[in-house]
Amino acid sequence: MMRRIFIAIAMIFCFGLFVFNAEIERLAVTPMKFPVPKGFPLPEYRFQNNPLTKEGFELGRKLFYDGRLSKDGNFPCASCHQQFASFSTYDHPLSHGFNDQFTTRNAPALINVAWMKELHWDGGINHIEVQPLSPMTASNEMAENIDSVLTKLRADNSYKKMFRAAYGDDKINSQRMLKALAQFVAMLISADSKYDKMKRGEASFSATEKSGYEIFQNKCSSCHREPLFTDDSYRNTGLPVNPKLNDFGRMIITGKSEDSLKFKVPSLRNVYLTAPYGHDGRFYSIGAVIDHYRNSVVDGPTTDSLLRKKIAINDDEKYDLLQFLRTLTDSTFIKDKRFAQPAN
Amino acid sequence: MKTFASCLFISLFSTGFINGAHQGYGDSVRVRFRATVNGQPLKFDSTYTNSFGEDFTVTAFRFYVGHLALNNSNNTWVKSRTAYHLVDAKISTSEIIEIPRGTKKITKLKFQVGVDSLDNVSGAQDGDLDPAHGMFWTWNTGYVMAKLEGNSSFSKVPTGSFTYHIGGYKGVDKAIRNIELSISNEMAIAILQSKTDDLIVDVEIGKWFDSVHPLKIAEKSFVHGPGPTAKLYADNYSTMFSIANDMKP
Ligand code: HEC
Ligand code: HEC
Repeated sequence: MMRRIFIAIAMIFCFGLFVFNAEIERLAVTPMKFPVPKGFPLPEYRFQNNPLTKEGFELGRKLFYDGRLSKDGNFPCASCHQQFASFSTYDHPLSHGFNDQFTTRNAPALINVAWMKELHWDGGINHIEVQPLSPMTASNEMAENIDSVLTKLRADNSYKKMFRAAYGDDKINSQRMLKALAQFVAMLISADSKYDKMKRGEASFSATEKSGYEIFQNKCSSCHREPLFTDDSYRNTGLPVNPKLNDFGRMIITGKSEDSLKFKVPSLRNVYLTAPYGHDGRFYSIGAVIDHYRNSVVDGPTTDSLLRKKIAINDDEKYDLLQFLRTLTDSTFIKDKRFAQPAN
Repeated sequence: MKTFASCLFISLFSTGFINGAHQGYGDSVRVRFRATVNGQPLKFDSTYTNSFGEDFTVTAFRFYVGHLALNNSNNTWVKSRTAYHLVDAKISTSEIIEIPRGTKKITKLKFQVGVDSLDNVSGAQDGDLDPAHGMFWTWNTGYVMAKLEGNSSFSKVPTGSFTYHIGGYKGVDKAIRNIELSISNEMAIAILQSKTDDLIVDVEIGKWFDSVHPLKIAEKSFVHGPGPTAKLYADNYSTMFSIANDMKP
């Protein structure tokens, strides 16, 4: 009986692969491999119904850098997600959007997004493919509506060509646009920092870096869990609410008071490139974040139990920690030409 | 034109496969959703009064019908070919539904109002589930399963509007509602003898305010997310459907 089930499953699996391959062949596209870095778990997003191809990725890249996805043409995704800042907004607590407005949260780095169960600081977005709808339609970000974006794309012959290359015909709809964007964003994989090289045995840590790593493993990694440097959970780190923003985080999505002031644990990869810090960008340096953990955690009803009594870190330890966090910078990633603005 | 606009059509295709046997198509039935207010076909330029004496006009009325099916002889459900139809009081489309040859009796119509949980978590969709239709929350992923918008002098928002966007696919917030309607013998016979093509489902907007829970415009002028309040409206509108007695040859 078990064997029969096994065979049935194997057959379904083979059939699935067959259909998948047949699809790719018919389209004359160039399949691309999604490289799961050594030591990483399987990604959350596995390109179901969205086979990764060179053509899809390139289309997504063009869209990511195209101002026409915003109302006045000035706010492509890349205006807030800049490659040299690991696809966060360089030096801005909050980012600029349409009509001199600001976002209400700090733009996170876009790295290893394919491993996220949910997206945004409050986890309000449940799937990488639908995420772009949020900035595109928010009045303080790109301020557009989907139909009008599609009208602009349809009027451009180069898009017609690229949609045809990726999908076999030049139909341009929201699904195709979103899936292409997902291909680009999901490919923003960062796993080539000194830390990664150390793990692979290609580099070694200095004494301070080693010490910082140990402190990190003792005091930080229960939330900023390796190798992604986030455990994908929502936590209140005892930051007092900013009365101008009144942002209660996860509670906005779940409606539950126990989720008040909880925010998604951010990855710390490339953290030296993504200043300022925190969901509203209130910290201008990593040192200031560490000072918060040691001095000023507010012990409220939902403050994380790991932080209630603050984290004991002396100045030497802080120094070592910072040295370790520097090893998380992946300069290959920020210079990777595949992710840069396309030529035309 | 106005009355036409207030008639909503929906298509239902049977697959033609019953109990594994390919029976071919026989009669056709067209299921039409027709919005009404206080028993009269909806007109977008009319002012109505709800049971609390509150005046209101309707500016938008849309909802998802999912998994539409007709109960055939021997208690077999004949499913529609497409999983979802977005019913929009401003747009009318009309297609034909076919039921297998040899069908002796139609007894029930069933469908759900809303979009399955799975289809809320599966990324970018097209067709009637295309997020461009405006039935999708972009900041808190999920489909708006039903939407009623209008104006009222009782509204508590400065613009005088009310906007009820109802949805929710997770756990206790689930706002999907299952509807089952009995088809009278008389209607069933008329359909099977091709005396009428249409099975008209009346959709009574007045029920949104009072059918299970009293929900005054003055107390709630908007709902823009899933949660306990959205579910109260879902309870109310789950009673808004009834099969009309109209028989059009
Ligand atoms: C006006 C600035 C701005 C623009 C334009 C913008 N974003 Fe963002 N992005 C943000 C901010 C701010 C957040 C955090 C939102 C939140 O948590 O509520 C964010 C979050 C994200 C996330 C989630 C990351 C995470 O860690 O959860 C992704 C993915 C993303 N953006 C991709 C895009 C794409 C793709 C586009 C273009 C379609 C885009 N962004 C356009 C500012 C912007
Ligand atoms: C209880 C879980 C938890 C622990 C333990 C923890 N963090 Fe965090 N960390 C978070 C959360 C959640 C945030 C986002 C906070 C916010 O903005 O609301 C965060 C934010 C940060 C940021 C800002 C990152 C950015 O991109 O904005 C840095 C830097 C940081 N933590 C470093 C550390 C270090 C170093 C330690 C150990 C000393 C540590 N964290 C321990 C949960 C934790």
